[in-house]
Amino acid sequence: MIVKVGGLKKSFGKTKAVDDVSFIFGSGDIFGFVGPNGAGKTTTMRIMSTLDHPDCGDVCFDGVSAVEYPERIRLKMGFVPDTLPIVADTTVHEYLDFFARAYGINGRDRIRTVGEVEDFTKLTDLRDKLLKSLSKGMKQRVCLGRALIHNPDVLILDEPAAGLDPRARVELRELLQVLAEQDKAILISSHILTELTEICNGAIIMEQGKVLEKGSISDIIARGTPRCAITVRVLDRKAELQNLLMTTPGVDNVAVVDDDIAISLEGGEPECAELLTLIVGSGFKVSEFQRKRTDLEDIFMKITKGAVQ
Amino acid sequence: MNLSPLFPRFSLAAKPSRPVRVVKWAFSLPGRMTTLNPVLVKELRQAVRSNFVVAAMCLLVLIQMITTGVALANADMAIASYGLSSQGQQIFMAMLSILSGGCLFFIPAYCGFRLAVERAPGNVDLLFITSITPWTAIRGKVLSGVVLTVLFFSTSAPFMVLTYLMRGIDIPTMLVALCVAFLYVIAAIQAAIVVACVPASRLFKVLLALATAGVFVIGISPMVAVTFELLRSGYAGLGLGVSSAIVVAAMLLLYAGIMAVMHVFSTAMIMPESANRALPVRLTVTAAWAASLITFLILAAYAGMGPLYFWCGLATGCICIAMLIALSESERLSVRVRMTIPRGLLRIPAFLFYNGPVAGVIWSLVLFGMTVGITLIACDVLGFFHAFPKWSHSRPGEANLFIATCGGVMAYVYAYAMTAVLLYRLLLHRWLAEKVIGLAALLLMAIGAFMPWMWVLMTGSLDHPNFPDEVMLGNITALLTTKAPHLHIFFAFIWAAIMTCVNIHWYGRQILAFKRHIPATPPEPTTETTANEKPVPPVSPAG
Repeated sequence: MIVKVGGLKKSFGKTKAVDDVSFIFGSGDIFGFVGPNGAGKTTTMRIMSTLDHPDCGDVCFDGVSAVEYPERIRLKMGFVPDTLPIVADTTVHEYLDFFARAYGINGRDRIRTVGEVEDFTKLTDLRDKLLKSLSKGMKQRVCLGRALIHNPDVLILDEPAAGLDPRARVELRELLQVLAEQDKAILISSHILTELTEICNGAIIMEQGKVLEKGSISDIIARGTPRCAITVRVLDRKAELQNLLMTTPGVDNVAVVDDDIAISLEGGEPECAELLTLIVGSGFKVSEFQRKRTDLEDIFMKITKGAVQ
Repeated sequence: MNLSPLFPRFSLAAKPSRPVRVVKWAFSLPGRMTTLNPVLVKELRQAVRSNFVVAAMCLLVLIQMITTGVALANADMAIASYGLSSQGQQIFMAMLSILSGGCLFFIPAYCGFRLAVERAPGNVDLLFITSITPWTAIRGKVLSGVVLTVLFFSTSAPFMVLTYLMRGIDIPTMLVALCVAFLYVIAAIQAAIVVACVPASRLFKVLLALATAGVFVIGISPMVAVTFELLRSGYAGLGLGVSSAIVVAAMLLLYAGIMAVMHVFSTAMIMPESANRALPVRLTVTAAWAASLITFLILAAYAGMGPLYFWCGLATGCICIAMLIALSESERLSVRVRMTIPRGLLRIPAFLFYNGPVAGVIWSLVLFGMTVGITLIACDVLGFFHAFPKWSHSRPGEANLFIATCGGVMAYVYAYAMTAVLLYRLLLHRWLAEKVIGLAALLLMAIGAFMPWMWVLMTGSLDHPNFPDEVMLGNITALLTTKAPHLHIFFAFIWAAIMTCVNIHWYGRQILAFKRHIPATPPEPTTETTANEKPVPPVSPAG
């Protein structure tokens, strides 16, 4: 399943909530959808999940337009919204059972499917509880269960980790990884970027309705950080190493900090490996060689301005 | 933590051919018939747990118990009898009033409120991202209301049966009275669902709900009158024969038509924007129009020409409203709708049943033309052949004037509608969406009715003996009240003709755009890849 978002635009009055947003992801991908509040993430996700209509552009699931054929897309897509369901006087089991019926799953299939989803999302013990009596984390699991009830190929999750305790977050992360292994395409928006870096293999960064950066995490980081910071510690001949580094092409800002030599190197992982080979090959006794890892959070802070519309 | 791979139940592959779909549908019919509507199941589960429903039902039972107890304790109690001779009749009428009133208040409010909350802009109504169809959703909502009504009625059954034991009333009379009340409550539930589905602000919905409730409160009077008459004379006393049965059948046909229109209207409002919402609505309205024609022809056969003229006026009013609603439709047809446009000559009649303001306006005019034409033909031709004794008179002058007035009203509404279109095209399109055109036409009509009176009041010419009719030109209400409407009718037709000429481009653009969409050649696959380096297939709207 390939999901392609192309030229999406949506305005609310004079505010351009989504302005020419295009990206693509597919089965097995977990794509992070990040951006400051008001960036247009939720609007984009609502359009993708056929809840909203774009002013312009389209979302295609394996080439089928979500704008033109929302009914067909709904069978292949599960959506977990940022707001929790307002369904009065309903138990967890009844809620899931209703959505199973709504997706046309009947008879024994429905009983089995609802049971499996309850088991998968650890809701079995809560099945007879009223929705209104659940905590936020439990409701979030119900939402995920509902989105999974028809075994969709694409999952769209809008801030699923918001308000969850650390344990629930870890559980959610594990659930998503299992789902990705089942070849589902997952788009997840979150403000907890460190967690996204751990589970996502791709990301889309938005601000003021526009996509600032998109692609695989490694590509984004590579594009966002053309230089990497490295610290080297040697047992002796520190001054010699300093001189060597100053004359090495691509190396910049060589400085001695305590016992370490801090440098800035142009390039990424291959260039780091080359530099280490050079230092070791020159006979230096390297006791420590550390490249400061850049994560999504660094990139996010670098390319966004925190502006809202 | 292990989710076993579920069966791949759904496919995004293109739909199979029509014969295959028909065969599949036919084979799936028994399964569909025995599968409960999911929305019905959900609504009833919620209703069983709802404090509101339980409290309402307890309150109803309590009031009925008290009423029955008081009535039994005071055999000579002065219940407003209105000619009801026996205590059984009196208590039954009291029970029925309490039951109908309770059901009319609680059930439509409960169903409408629940649906409105689910459809509220702030709430993510996830029902509408399932594969459930709008038809199933609305049917489930109505059915749940019907079941709740049956539940409320069944709680009253013991008290009703008690009145039978008190004599003065028979079982068929009770059943007929209960049926009339039941049908009325169901109509109110369907109306509440229509209001809940209207895509408007909360305030507008509340106002609309109050207006609808007002209509149903006003409608109670004839229902109570019918029930009193029924109780006074008894079921057998009505002298039911073939003729009465035909009248009753005709009334039921009319009821079914109104219910169908409301049902389809509410369904169309929750359909996806890209669907051809106009098709089910216009087809059902046309069918309801035909059903009402049959009803009033039957009534006219028994009561003379009056019902037919009433039908002409009623149909004109409804068509005017339909035209104003159609004006607010979007001009653009989605690709999926355009792909269903028939080829050849079928394209011409099909145009009337597709989305779009021009299609809606033309459909309204065609329906109005047929209304007037059939009224005239029914009066002249059938009257000429003396098909029914009551029709033996040829069209009187008053009837001609009435039909002409209907034409004038239609011409006025059309002229205002076209003026609103012109204003929107020239001035308002930059700031407002197309859906305000209908409202703008209504506003213009209100201004047209209000301004002449303002002028009259300001100039002090109200008491003038030769108050000129020309001042009131453009006032649609004046047309309905004046004794000399010819000037108004002439003016309305001239204005309508001018507005048509001015908007001819608007007509032409939409008529010419009504062409079947032919999918373009798929573009070359893009080189863009996902994070997993999968090639991207070409995108085609048809899938």
